[in-house]
Amino acid sequence: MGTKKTTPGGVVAAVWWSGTIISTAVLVSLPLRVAEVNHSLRTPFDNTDSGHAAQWSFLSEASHHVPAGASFTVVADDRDLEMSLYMMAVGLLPEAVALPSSYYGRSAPIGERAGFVLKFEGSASDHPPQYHAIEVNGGWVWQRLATEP
Amino acid sequence: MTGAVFLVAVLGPSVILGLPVAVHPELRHLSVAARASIAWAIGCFFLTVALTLISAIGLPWTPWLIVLVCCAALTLSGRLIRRSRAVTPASEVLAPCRFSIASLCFTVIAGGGLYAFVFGFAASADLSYFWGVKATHFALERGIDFELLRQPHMIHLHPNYPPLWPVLLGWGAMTARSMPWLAISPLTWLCLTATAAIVFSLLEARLGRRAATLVTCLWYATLTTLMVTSFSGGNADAFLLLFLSVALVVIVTEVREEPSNLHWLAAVALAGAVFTKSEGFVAAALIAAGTLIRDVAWRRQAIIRQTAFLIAPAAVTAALWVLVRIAHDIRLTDPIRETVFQLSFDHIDLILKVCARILVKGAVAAGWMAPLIAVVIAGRGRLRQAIPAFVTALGILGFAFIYYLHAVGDPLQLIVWTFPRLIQPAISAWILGCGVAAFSVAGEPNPEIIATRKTGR
Repeated sequence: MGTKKTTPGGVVAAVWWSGTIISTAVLVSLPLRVAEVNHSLRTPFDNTDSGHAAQWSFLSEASHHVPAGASFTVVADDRDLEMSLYMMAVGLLPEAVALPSSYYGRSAPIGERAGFVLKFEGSASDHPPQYHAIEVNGGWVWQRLATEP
Repeated sequence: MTGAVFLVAVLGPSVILGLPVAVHPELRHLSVAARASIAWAIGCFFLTVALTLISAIGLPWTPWLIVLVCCAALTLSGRLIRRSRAVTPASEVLAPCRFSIASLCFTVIAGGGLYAFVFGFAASADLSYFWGVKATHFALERGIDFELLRQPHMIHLHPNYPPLWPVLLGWGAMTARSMPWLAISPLTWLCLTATAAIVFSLLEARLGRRAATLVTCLWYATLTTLMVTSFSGGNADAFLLLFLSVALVVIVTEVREEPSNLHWLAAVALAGAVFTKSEGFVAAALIAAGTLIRDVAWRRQAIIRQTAFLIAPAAVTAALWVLVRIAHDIRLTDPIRETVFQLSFDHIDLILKVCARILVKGAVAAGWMAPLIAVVIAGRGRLRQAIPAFVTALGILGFAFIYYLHAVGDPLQLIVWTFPRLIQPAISAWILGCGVAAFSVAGEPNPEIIATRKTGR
């Protein structure tokens, strides 16, 4: 049989409280560490500095230009960024067909078949001649022009 | 509006499906909040198993089918309530919560957590990479989209991961007719708060209100903070924590002289953990192993049968998901993950240093140091009683270490990203184990709670 203790001792209770206070202090101080808290959220990531908010906003706006059933790919200057955008786009454009330009850093030729190219950031001069370019917040939507039979 | 419909769809049917469990006579001593939380947790497990089976046999998810099952659950609950009232007298009602430093502390933690999760301080990238993505497609397909999961350029969706979380989100999105992405992160807070309610009520019954308050406040503060700082908002981690914590607190609050009559609840919770995340199987195995070791140390009877009873629902659930994947040609392993047993010992120093650095910072440090110091000061606590929790906590750390040995190349980024999440169940187990070891009273429920019941204070 163990030692009987009817109530927590003062020191033991103080130790538990100190742990609680430290953890709570860390929790409530988190918003204070963010330079400017955004209370009118447009993306799930508006109050993180992960960079996902900009990607989300771009894809969300670009999704209005890609019809259901159409195929699209995503391109960016950096392969990691391109992968991140692709993974997000599969969820934000669920009714369209996502084809990667690269997958985990490796080039994916299947992306060349896409009818739409979502270009993150970049300038108007970037787009290839066989595409019609639409500017959206954070990038471009290039729509492949119909080719003559 | 979409968010509200989504939350009603996620909460409503699951609470109703879990109601027959929550009104079980053995749970009548728990608070209403705890029983409602148990109903939700177990109901989510039942609902997602049912939806997975419906998809597996090729039928679409139909709200009317779930409504019918809910009606059956309500009827069953009514019968159980009437029967338990006829057989057992109404349980003694514990003193209601009054304003105290503890309730203030609890409110601050709940408020701080809610603010962080609602305003996206904790949003996980994985929500937008695969958890929510799968759910969106499941909602469109009105079922698990096996075709999508088979595609070669969709392996980032981790097709082999257990389905509870995406199926639950998909069900909610299907009912709401779109995915309310901003409403998902607050569900993590709800999971944490539900777990705290269950943990408090189960601990209170064994340790008394003051000890239960101390342990639960530290648990709630630490795990909420850890979930926020590790960007786990919207992930399945909170559900995993819920199931594992419920199972553990049931197991560690039983005493040698009085075997728990809630082992069935722990067994169902472990099945829920296995159906939520792959790590759930590791943690469930550790909890079962810890319980086995403790029961051997206690020289209990029929240990093998008891352990088999504890782990059987989890094993059946794991087997079910394997069979569904085989039937639908879904990979059994994750090609993105490292190859098993291809270990590299080149980075041991780095692994130990980075993990140690994370363990001695902020809320994580408070979460394991304070309970450890408390147990040391408290002296001869009932350490044996808490063996399952200690085995789980240390076993998960060991699992993390072995996992990092599998890393190809420099594991720094992998550790920084995953370790704060992997240790959540370990920190939870540690707090619960130390709490029970520090405050337990041998044999009987804590005299404080008996006095509280008698005086109605």
